[in-house]
Amino acid sequence: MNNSYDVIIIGAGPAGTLAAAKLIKEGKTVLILEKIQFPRFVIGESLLPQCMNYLDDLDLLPCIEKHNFQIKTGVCFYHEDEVCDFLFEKQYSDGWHYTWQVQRAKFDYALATEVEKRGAVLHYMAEVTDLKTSATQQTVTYSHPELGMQTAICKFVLDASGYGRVLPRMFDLEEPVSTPPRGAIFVHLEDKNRSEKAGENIFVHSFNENTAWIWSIPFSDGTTSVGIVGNSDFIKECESNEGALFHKLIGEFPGLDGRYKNVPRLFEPKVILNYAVAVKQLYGEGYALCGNSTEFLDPIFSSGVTFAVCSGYKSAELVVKQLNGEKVDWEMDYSVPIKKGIDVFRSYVNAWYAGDLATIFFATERKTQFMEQICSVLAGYVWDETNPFVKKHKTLLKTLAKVIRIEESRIV
Amino acid sequence: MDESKDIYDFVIIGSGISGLVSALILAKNGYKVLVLEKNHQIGGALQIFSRDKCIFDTGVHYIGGLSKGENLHQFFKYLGIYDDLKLKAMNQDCFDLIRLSNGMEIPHGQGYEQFVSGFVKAFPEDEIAIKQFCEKIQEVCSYFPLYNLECEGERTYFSHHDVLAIGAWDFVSSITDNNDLKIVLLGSGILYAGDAKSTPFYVVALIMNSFIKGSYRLVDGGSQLAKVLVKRIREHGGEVLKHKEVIGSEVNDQKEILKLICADNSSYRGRQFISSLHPSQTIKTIGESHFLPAYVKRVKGLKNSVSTFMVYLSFKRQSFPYFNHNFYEYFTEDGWNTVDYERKNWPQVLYVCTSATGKSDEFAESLSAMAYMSKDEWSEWEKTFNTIADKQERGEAYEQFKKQKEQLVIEKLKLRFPGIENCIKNVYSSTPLTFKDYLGTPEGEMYGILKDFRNPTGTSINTKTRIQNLYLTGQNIVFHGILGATVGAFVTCFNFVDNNTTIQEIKNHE
Repeated sequence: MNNSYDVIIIGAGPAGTLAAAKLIKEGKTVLILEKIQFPRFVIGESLLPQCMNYLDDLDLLPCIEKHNFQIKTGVCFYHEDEVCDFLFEKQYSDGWHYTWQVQRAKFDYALATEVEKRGAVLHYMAEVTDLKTSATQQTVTYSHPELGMQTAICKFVLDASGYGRVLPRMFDLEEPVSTPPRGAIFVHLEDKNRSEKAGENIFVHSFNENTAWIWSIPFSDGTTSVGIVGNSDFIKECESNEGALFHKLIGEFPGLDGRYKNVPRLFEPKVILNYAVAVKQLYGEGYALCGNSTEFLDPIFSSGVTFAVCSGYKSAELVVKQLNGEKVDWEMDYSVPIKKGIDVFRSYVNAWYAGDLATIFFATERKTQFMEQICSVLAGYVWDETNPFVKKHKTLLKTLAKVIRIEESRIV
Repeated sequence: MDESKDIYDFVIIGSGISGLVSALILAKNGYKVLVLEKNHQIGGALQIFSRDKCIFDTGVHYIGGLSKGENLHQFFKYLGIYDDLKLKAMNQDCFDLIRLSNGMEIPHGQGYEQFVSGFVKAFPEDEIAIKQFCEKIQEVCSYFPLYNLECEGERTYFSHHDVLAIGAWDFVSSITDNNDLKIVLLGSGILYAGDAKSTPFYVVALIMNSFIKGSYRLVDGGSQLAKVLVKRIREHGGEVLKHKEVIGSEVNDQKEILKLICADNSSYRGRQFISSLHPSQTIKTIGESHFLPAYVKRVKGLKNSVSTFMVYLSFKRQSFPYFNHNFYEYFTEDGWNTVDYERKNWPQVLYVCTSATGKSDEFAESLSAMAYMSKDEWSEWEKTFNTIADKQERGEAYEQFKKQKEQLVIEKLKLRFPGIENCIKNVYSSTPLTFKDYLGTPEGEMYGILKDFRNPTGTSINTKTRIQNLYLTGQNIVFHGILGATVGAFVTCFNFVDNNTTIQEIKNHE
């Protein structure tokens, strides 16, 4: 049967294409089934330096460099009049000093085109309708507007479908999340008022006592992605009346100095509500999940694409081992480390909304050593256990915030 | 075919410093010479370009050995070009400023006393090591007679080969354990692709000694040096032709070259031929079949040095200061292992200079920054070609790639020159491909053939080829740079003019 592959990947986003690149490099045959036609818009535009390690390892940097995306050398947090600037140059881990802020339509398409060039078979508009798994052979059924209903077989299936959540839905793997429901509203703007003095790195303004925040992600073509994150009810309010509150907020927000007031929009604001998702398990017989189809916490630290890239790479690495006849412990070698990384970010997300990070970021006296260690977490190096802010993520932020509050009350 | 009736005594390929100096030495000695240059502009690495009414140097940013009585000064006096050069002496107490990632800033001063005193403040406990370093430089230089304007010496590198086999990094490691000090002593390493694994100490010694003994900038660009050389060549009856790309030769049965054939179908006869091209490019140009296979194999086996990515900034009027010294910016603690760099923190080292103009001592019109760039970054466009004389496009992806790299360099500049982004008018850049196309170097390399202290003889080039009347000159003969190429030209010409009398003349020139 000629519709047979070593691995079938569902979804052609960064998780899927990184996995494909790794599998091809190891001599495996790959079919990628993508539900829609690329290039397509998707949110999640800010990358972390950590993902560069994987892109570099698979020699995928050149195909990205050619698009001259905005280079990101750090991240800047604002709270009222205060600023906290992190530069990846000044971080604890031996990591990359930069990454990119990308229009995902172009970025994802560049990666997909590159893996196709390297030999992956990629079908756009191919929607997976059924999967039958077994220990040795998986049968995938998908529909395609031109090919009709198709069946393909493979030895392993990787679900990189992100919000498509193909296998979590099909196999009932979805799990409720414990965080309060939050949403995001966002737009791309012509950033006409960008001053030469303004930095080009992503910046974040928190407001409403840390329950909401505005992001700005400048792109290299003079446009900027601007969005607001907050409780779902608040985001619905922002969206109502043709986004009146949203436009008012980004136009008149004190820290933004009218930069986004009355500038042309590239499209009308889009909304995602209750974005956080989780699953019961990351793998099963003949399949594994990677990217956002596993768990997505929150956009605050731009960890989405980085986790996609990292879990895409790691799952592919294990698939190769398994196909080569080696024993793979998916629990210990995949699930545990991936969840560990997610847990580190979970602590930071919680600390963000609890206000502990604001206390640390905007402290009167900031200790360089701590800031460099936190910077490495913000750069995505969440597996570097020599970093105390990784190893003791559950307690250290709380403790540090507490100490700072005590000290600052003394100063006052 | 459009054939010149004249038979020249010497036909020289390439109008870089070595080609022009060779031509001038020979013309001064009564020979009829012709220089063939493929480009629109003469000068090789002395070529300049202009953007936004600013002049940018592509290769030459400062010159050593030009103080009175020093080697290059005497060579230039002999050639009759010194008095025509517009020079600007760089700061006595600091011609190079080395800035490390830990915030340490150390000047390299002119004169050995000044050089040592610049270090001792920061490394008071290492005074002995710093002095040892200076003594070793001077000792090693004494092994090179022509460098010291002598015909022969008691101890020379031909009789004492060991002097070529000292590794630069190994030597500094033998005198100090302080990593910062090692980096700072060898801080100008990007001038000669300094690498812990391969760079010989003699390369460091010959180059640093010349700068310590007098560092100068060429005001309003390095091309003046090429122009005045051409002027003198013409005064001595020589000819220099542009847009003459040599693409082949006619060789007789005795394995002598009769004439060179150019791309425009013209041809030039000569008795002797000198190529200042890279040896492998020379073989390709003359015709591989004329050389012994063993020679071809050896030349092709030579490893080339790394190339560089250059960023050129033009500034808004009176917005950015002129610095009368260079900057060597280190963004890593592992400063002498940066030639084979990782991409994650590229550029790890930058050479930065503001160019000297006749207009202002206070403000700079422009700035150049240089970083290593290895072949795997640009090999995708290896087959493209673009020069002014032969204009072609490399494509949009290449332009975007350049912009990315520009941005990365500017990000690093922002860290060391806060506010620089507000001064920039425009940004330009060149990749190794630019050097490859203009200079005809096989890999766009900037520093010639890689010199390796572990294999000193295997990485050196003889001026004689296996073709009787074909000689080599250029940066690969002795070393690269203005001084290296000039010395190389003399070495080549000593095949034809008496070295004793010439050196006496050079030495005694007032």
